[in-house]
Amino acid sequence: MKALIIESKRDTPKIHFDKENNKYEISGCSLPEDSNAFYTPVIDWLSDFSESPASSFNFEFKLDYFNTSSSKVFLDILTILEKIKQSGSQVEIKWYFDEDDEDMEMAGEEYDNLIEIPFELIPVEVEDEDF
Amino acid sequence: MDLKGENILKEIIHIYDDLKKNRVLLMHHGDFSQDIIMSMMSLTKERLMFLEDKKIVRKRLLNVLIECLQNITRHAGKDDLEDVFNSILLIGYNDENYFVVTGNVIKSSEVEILEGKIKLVNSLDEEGLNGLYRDIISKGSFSNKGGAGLGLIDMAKRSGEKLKYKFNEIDKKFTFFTLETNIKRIKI
Repeated sequence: MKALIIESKRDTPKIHFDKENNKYEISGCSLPEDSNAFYTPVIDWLSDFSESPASSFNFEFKLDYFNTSSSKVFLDILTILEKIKQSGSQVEIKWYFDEDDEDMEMAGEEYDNLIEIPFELIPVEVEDEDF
Repeated sequence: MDLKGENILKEIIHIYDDLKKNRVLLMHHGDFSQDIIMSMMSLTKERLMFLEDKKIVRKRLLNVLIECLQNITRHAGKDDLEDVFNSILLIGYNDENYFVVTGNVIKSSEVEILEGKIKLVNSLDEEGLNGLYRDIISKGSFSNKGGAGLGLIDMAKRSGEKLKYKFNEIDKKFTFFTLETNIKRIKI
């Protein structure tokens, strides 16, 4: 399966999905005007991946900012991952957040409540964020 | 204020004085394309660096900013270009708070629904806002435009205070909508 790598822009995150290296990561700022347009290839890739997923993997969110129009898409992504887990893979979500950003921590807790996947909230020290 | 001809030379100094006196951090009058919104975000972030608040304050303010500006773009009556180019953003501050204020033209027919959403948001406490947010994102009552009031809920959560708003009817078809969100300052 071909890796999906999208470089970050000022208002869209970096996407790094690579089955060969078992790495699945969304990082940066997710503030697109039209989140459906940006995330369509991301959702498509994950849907293909869910047909023959890795047997064990971590899915990582490393976000500085995201808008409400991205928040629904994140739930769609997590729902796909939940199905993958139900079909037998071992899946864990790693939700990294700036240790000074309690709102980002709470956002992770909210998703944890909505989804039946082991969810680890990981505080990190961030010097400065950019967009 | 008349800004035509020679008057503009006399008036600009007053505009400048007013903005300075009222501690305006940033003001923009015009349209809010995604490019302009992102530039506003960068500019605001840079200026906030001088004001020595905790990082969470800056994050909250920038999150409120993106939501209210993308709301304007979403609901702009694109059939009336002059109005699209006449939105306004003002970010001001005092010792306790930041104020993010936007003003834009919306269709008068949308006033009732919008006011309903704001009233609902203002009637809820933090737990209520979280519950409503959860309901909306998980039940998918959510348009491509991202509406459903999710932006307003997020703004109210970040603020911790009620949203302030005003509708000024321009004519039967159009109304000027002003929205203010306060963000409490926390000094380093």
